[in-house]
Amino acid sequence: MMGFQWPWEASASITPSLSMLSVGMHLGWALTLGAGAVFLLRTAKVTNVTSRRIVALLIVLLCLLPNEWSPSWWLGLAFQTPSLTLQGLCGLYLFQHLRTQHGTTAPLSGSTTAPLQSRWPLGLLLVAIIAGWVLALDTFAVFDIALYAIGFTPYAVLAALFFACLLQLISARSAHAQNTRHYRELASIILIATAIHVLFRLPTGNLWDALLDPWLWIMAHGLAVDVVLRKTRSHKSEATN
Amino acid sequence: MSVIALLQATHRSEPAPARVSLASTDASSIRLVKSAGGEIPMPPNTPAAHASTMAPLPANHSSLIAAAWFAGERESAPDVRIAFSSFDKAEQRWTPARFIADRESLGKALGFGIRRLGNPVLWRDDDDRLHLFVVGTGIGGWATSRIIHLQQSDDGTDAEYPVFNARAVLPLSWLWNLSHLVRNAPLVLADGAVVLPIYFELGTKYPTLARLDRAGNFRGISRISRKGNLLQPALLPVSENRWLAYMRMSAGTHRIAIAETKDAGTNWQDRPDLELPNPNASVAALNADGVHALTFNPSSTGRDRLVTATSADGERWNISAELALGQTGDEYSYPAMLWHEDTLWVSYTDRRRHIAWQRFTIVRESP
Repeated sequence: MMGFQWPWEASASITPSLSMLSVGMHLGWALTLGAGAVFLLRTAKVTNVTSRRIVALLIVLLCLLPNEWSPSWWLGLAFQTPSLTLQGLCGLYLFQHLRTQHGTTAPLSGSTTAPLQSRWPLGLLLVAIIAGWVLALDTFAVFDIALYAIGFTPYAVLAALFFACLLQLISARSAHAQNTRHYRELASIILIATAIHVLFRLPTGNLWDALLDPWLWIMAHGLAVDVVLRKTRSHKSEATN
Repeated sequence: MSVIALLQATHRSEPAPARVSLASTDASSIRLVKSAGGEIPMPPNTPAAHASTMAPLPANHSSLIAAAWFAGERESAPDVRIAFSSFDKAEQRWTPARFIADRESLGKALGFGIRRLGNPVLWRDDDDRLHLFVVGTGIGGWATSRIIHLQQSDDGTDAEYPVFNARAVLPLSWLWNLSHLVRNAPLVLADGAVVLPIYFELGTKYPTLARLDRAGNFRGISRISRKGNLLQPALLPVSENRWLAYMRMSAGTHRIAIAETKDAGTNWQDRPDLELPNPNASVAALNADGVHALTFNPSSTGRDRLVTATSADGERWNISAELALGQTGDEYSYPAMLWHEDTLWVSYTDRRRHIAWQRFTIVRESP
């Protein structure tokens, strides 16, 4: 087993060490499934916050178990590790939910405490959707240039830093408070994800895997459809009035 | 440490030329003279074998070369493991086969499950450590495969049965890292690094390369061809920077496909298919001290005959040795070749029951 190496060491690998890979995978699925469980309980109108906390804690602990006992073992078999962006969003969701005062119920949407459920700016969702389609098509060698391979290069890191800065700039100019928060949260998550990737090579050694994974891409489709439907309904309602 | 230096450190995949002998000869004056052959012993109670690979062992090792293959009840069976044997110098025979990798222990090392094991590929690095690349599937068949990299954990000098530890899962695609497989031997470069020929096979099939440095650290990927019917590339270095990739064709003309690079694998161009037929079967290619050798099934429909051909230019081939000729429906397939100590070694699947091997000396005759 190779010891830890800083990324600037000449012999450093661009893939994570096996121990880092395993820890990252278990933590990743713990955060993702924990947030997913809380989301489902809230959707099912389970109002008791303590119950939700206990369920979330149990699922997180279950995911951290070793080998076949852990859902991470089976999810890793099928889907490897969630992106750091998805992990960040899920971690933020869990943090904000667990911070909720005992006995209170955070609103299901439009809330300042529910980053996964509140309305995301459609432009941001479209960026994720288009990026995902490009990477998915690249998997099947649709383009002349191999775009996934660029995720191993410093150009990808520069692109991620540029995108995070762009989000910060947009957040400063956004007139909508909720959008401003989303842009800032995502900029911070992308910066942290990029830093973790550069230092520890998680989750795979390729930056695109750190920023976007197929599950997050699929979620972006669902959220975008939801935003469009709500906007359509809102316009219809305004027209009727 | 500046940010730029940090960024540069993440991208050190300068292409190196191949480690290659340029003593090319007119292929018509080349003969392959068989000096030995037979079957590599199977592990006890193991009825099926497939997809062998070979690697040279260090000079001070008790064995000359190593071979590995997957074996179990049948291909894709849950009990399939990676078997290993080596050719003992003193005894001049293969050691009893033992299993060196299984999906249970690999899963425990990686932290996630593996459903099936397949195609192994061996590589000995310049520090005499063996590396083993093996296909492991997720949920589904071979199309959900990933490539797992294992490395010999002992010093490699005289372990009759090396111990391998999992080292990495090669990151090869964004879509849950699905559907990349390995089959043929890596090409060793001048600086000790290697390019490992691999392929994608979910829906479309295309060949690609993974680069690893001399220590086995993964360094990146580049694509060989975008044609959707080519797989299992076998690399042949014609010169330091000009390499040819021979590929199995899953559909189309049923001939061996070929692609060429003139810049050590950075850019590739498809070439017209060879005149040689291909029954959707794996081929092996090798530069044996300047003699180009290609082992393949010379039929567009069946795997019942297996031959080795030689060539001076990598495009016009003469059959130099017939390795196997069976009945219709028999299978002699998935060849591997190794050039070691002036001897050409060929191994192949013999009717899925065991791995056969043959050894040749190359005779250059004056016209």
